[in-house]
Amino acid sequence: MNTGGLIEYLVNGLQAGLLLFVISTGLTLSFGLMRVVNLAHGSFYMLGAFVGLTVAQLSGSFILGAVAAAIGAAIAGWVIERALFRRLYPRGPFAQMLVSFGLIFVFDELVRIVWGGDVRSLPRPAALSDSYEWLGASIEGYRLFLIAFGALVCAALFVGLVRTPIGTAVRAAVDDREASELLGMKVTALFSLVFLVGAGLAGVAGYVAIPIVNAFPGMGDDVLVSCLVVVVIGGLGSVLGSLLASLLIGYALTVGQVLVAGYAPAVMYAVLTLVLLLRPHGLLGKAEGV
Amino acid sequence: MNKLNALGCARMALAASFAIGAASASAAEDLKIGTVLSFSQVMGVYGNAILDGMNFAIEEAGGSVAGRKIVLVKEDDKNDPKVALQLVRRYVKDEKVNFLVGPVASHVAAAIRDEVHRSKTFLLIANAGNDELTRELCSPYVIRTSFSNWQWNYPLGEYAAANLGKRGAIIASNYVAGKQMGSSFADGFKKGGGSIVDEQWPAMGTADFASTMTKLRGLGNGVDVVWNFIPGSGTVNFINQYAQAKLKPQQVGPQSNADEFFFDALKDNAIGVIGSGQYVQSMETPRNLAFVAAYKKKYNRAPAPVDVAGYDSMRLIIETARRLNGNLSDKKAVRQAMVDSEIDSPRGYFKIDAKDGNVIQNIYITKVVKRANGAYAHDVLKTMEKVRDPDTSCKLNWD
Repeated sequence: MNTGGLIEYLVNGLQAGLLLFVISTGLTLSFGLMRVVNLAHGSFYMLGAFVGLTVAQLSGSFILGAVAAAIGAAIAGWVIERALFRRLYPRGPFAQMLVSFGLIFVFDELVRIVWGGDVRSLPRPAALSDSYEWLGASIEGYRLFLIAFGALVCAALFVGLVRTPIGTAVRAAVDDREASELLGMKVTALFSLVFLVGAGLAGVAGYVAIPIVNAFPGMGDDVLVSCLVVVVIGGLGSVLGSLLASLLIGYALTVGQVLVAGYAPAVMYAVLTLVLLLRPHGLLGKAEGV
Repeated sequence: MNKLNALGCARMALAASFAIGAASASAAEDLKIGTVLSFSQVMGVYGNAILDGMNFAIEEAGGSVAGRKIVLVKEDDKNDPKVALQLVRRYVKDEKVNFLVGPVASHVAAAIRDEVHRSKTFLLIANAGNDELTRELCSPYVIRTSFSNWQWNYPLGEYAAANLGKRGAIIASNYVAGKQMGSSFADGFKKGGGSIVDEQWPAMGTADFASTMTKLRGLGNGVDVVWNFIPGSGTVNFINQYAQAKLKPQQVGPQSNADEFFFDALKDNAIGVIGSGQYVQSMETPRNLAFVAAYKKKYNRAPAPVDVAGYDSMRLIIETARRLNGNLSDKKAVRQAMVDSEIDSPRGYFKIDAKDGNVIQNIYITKVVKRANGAYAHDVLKTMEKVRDPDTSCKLNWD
């Protein structure tokens, strides 16, 4: 393999990993906080993509589209949390999984009814549509933008979680929910916020992914599986763990596509199996006190 | 209620159900056609188009043939082999359908083939191109009105080797149709004196082809032709990313890689892509011009190849029923009528091969162009006349 090819693989893997991180953070946090398994998380990714696409096409502004994607998906997340998940907390993971699994079909069909079944694309913004030649590699400007975007979200999340009172509360609640509640924290209210932010992030990720993978009904189903793998590998509830896991899976898929193209998804599961054998609670997870 | 009474009730109910059964048998004059199509998710676009084509033919025929009203029974097969199999069983057992039309995907077709054969219900395949269905796995009850994977790609391979260059790369999704199409192209390409210098088989569902593009770029000027087939929305990603990567080799593949369904999503990236298929919307034959105009009037959109496959399937059913005067009980006669039927398809020549049930038709080698009005269309580069699968492994077995 030549240097150019190697650089391209490194860049593509990093981009795939960071995007996956942005999508899966919401899932990681909602699981960490409330032990809620939301299988419809991929639907926020899809909804964000379609809302953003529509606004971008109407307004002609890529940035406005991104804002709309975040807001649209966050609103959907807020409604779903208020209307459904709130009723499901006491009923355990099985009820949550069933309901959220059903939601996938509802959202897929909803999108098909509103936007039709066609594959839709969004051109890259003019400023990002060039490719750059470097050491024999041809690197797409848009992928560099995605890397910067992922890194920015990542930094904002860590600063938010470490430096703000709300972030501290979220970390405390993930660490020990009962104790936090005993201390007077409103964990359910906190959870609403986390759910909303997570949905918004997934939505904006779906939107910025369109120039690479397009938008179509059911687009969230594929990323959901990768997200669940990330949550498990990272250690339930650990944001840093999910960052490491996202990068690991991003590279596993990229390298897998180079070495054994036909079995790239299998490489992801091989990584999952290996991590769970060595660290049963994930990279940075801690044992459940059950 | 005592025991005797209960027994009496049961008898009466039984008698009543027999009576109803007899009544419905004598009134069963509807010509029932069950569809095995997806109306949701990625394949929904194809399922709906086939259905539109069928409905167009039914309307054209005035809704009935030989005194029998034409009734469609349609449920979503979700592009899932298990769901499709249950649908077929239900259609045959409960609905007593006379014909089945479907499926879009080859693995769904493979899953229902045995049930179709066992139940002796005629299936008209309106899309799935799996070669085996009209080769080793052929059945007298299976007719294909669309195309076979070989039919699209072998002639394209010959064309590419003769006109585009002798060094080819093959990239296709790693599943049955991808493998069959890729090897058919390779066979035709080698027959024409070309050689395959690279093969890549990305997993089904791969959305980002960045690694594939990197590998292709690594081959530099060592490739003249890149043949590819990625089904569903993946083809849009592939072609857009190919353009983004500014790769030089000529892109070729099934015409469906870049067709009416995807022009909106591909835009100028589609220009110049060479394809092969059995129907070209822009063909200026009087028959096709009239068809396209009428279709546009009804659906406010132009027909794609799958619309025509749905339309021709229904036309073939109607023509068969007309020839047999509505009497479809003799299975051998039904098949003979289908093989003998001549329908003036918008695609051009159309005849069912008595040997294996696959359609004999022209294959058009096309190129995507942008017309002066900004619309995208296919221009025909070459017409391969009356292409017939030369394979002889089909042994028709009626039981």
